[in-house]
Amino acid sequence: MPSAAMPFADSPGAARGEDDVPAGTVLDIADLKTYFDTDAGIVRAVNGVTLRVADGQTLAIVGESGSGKSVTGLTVMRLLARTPGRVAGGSILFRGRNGLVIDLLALSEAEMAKLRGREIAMIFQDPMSSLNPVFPVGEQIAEPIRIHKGASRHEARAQAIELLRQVGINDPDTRVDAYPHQLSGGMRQRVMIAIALACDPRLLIADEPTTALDVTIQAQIITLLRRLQRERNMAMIFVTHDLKLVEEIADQVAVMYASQIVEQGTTADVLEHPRHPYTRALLDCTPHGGAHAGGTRRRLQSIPGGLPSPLAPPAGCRFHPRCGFATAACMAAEPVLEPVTAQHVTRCRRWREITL
Amino acid sequence: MSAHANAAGPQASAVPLVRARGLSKAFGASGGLFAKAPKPVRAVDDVSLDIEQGEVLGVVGESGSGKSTLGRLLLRLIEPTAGTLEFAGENLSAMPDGALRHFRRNMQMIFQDPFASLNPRMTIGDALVEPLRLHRGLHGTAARDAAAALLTQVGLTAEHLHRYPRAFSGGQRQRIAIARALASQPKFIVADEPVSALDVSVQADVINLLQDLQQSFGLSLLFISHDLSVVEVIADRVLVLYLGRVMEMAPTATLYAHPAHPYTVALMQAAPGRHRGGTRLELAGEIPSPSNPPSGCVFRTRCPFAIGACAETRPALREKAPGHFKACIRDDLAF
Repeated sequence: MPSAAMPFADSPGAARGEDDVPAGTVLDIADLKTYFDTDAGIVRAVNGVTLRVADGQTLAIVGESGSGKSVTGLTVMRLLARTPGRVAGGSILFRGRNGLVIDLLALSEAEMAKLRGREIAMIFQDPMSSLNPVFPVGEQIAEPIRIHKGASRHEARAQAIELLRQVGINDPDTRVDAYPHQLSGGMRQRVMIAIALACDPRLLIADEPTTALDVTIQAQIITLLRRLQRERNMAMIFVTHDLKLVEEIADQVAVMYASQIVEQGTTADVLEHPRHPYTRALLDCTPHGGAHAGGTRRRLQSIPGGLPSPLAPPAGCRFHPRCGFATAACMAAEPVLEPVTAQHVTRCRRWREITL
Repeated sequence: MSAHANAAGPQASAVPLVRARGLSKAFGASGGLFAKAPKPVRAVDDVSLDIEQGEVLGVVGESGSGKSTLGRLLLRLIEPTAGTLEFAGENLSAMPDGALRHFRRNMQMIFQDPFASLNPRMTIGDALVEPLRLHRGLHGTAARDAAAALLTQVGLTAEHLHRYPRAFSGGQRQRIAIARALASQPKFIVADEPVSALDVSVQADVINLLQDLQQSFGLSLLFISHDLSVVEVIADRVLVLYLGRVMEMAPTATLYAHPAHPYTVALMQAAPGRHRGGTRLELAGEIPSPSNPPSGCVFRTRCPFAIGACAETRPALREKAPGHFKACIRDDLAF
């Protein structure tokens, strides 16, 4: 059983229940394993992820392509059924609006369908492929309201218009009848947010929601998400590759590399005092401005080597082939998440000795 | 290959490598099959610029600002509706097709998507040998050797020659695309969002590679990106486009330290992690349709500082300090 002092540290996979989810926690993921069976072998896309999301707070999951960040979100939503993906272990405990704790992995598909949209909602990177092109957006916002809240067609339409107004769409009385192709990318993402928020979920999973948008529109969407989150006291998992966005939106951050969390803590701790060489390296290769400061031009740092194959990750620490601090011990055995402070963990056995 | 930060700066000379004057491109003036009333879309509207030999000009702006169209115009991949284009003093806009075909070896392009820009049925060797044969007349072993040398220059090895694109990651493919662009020994390369599809750790590698090659060959580069922080790293000067028009143009250090146009300021502050403390100048709404641009200053409909006069006449691109141009009538603003 995890002790209160180390909320994120690796814990034995014993059966867990309501008592393991402290008050104020919406989502508690422990030792989650999501595998994909492919012709080439088993891809362990999520391999032992432990996470907690607090009420009304934002947890960012940051990582590069193939790190497992999106699959983690999809697993929570139980959206892997039509893929070769399967949950090979772990638990996902969710505290619903009624205060009861549910194991999402133990729910039947029908039970999960009732929860999806009502208690947990998700938005994706590409709103065009999430929206149905042949229905007006208003109907797509009204649908969950009718299904989950039993509202009449008329009431649902009125609520859809109100939601469009809340997500900052001008002239919502007209736009409610627009088809997705008649809207810009930014407006479609606003519509997706309206659909996700239609039933006032406790948890929103946002998977790269602004990656396809211009920076100016991204800034608008981030402002909007933060405002709606505050107004509704909604928790959020924000999946992104962009550390600079993490800084703007997240209270907590989990850094993923090769299917595992390598560092987790408060955003300020992790970004300002990283304790894992990968986090440090990611920060260093992100252009931060001031490249011309002082008259000479600074080069970007890069991380040597490439992302490891998901079929055969390196033995020992998965980051060791690209890490400037790796020793023989790092190649020999897989590191565990070690507590740096009560709020900060790192999967680096050398964190005490190295200066990042 | 070592490239020092401040070595090999652009060579200012009497004749710039690329010179565009009043370049404009309107699409669809004839109206499409389903068009009700043909209304031309002014993708690029009266752009004048010089790119010196060895200079990197960054182009930033939102989608729909005309960045890519400008890049294609400068290579004459599309024909301008107005304006002139010179390359090393030669009138490129009037060059006949036959001469242009030979001339193309001087100008190359690198695209955003390295998965779409390489033929999946051609080995990397064949993809590199083709331009070597066409532009440099190399055949057989000589072509193979040159292809291997190109791969080495971009950080790959000769053994990669026999592989197909599918064997490579996005970052490696972008290196191959760069090698292919270098095959004809061009003087000018348009790189259109060359790192936007890449992961951050890979992005840094490709930017550093481009910078090294640009400096060691004295290449001129038009670097198009929506990401201001990437442009800041690589560009000597930056041009800010909005609805096909130049809003501001300045040396990189000047532009980032002292942006003068409200649109530039808004773009910079919109980028995450750039506005520590203070209030952000957040733009309302979206870029208007280029088929129906606002009168006067095209940015005025989103500009928090717009006044009545902004709607009346199109603001001229004025030089407010040496090399620093802006198209904004409000000189009373301080950012």
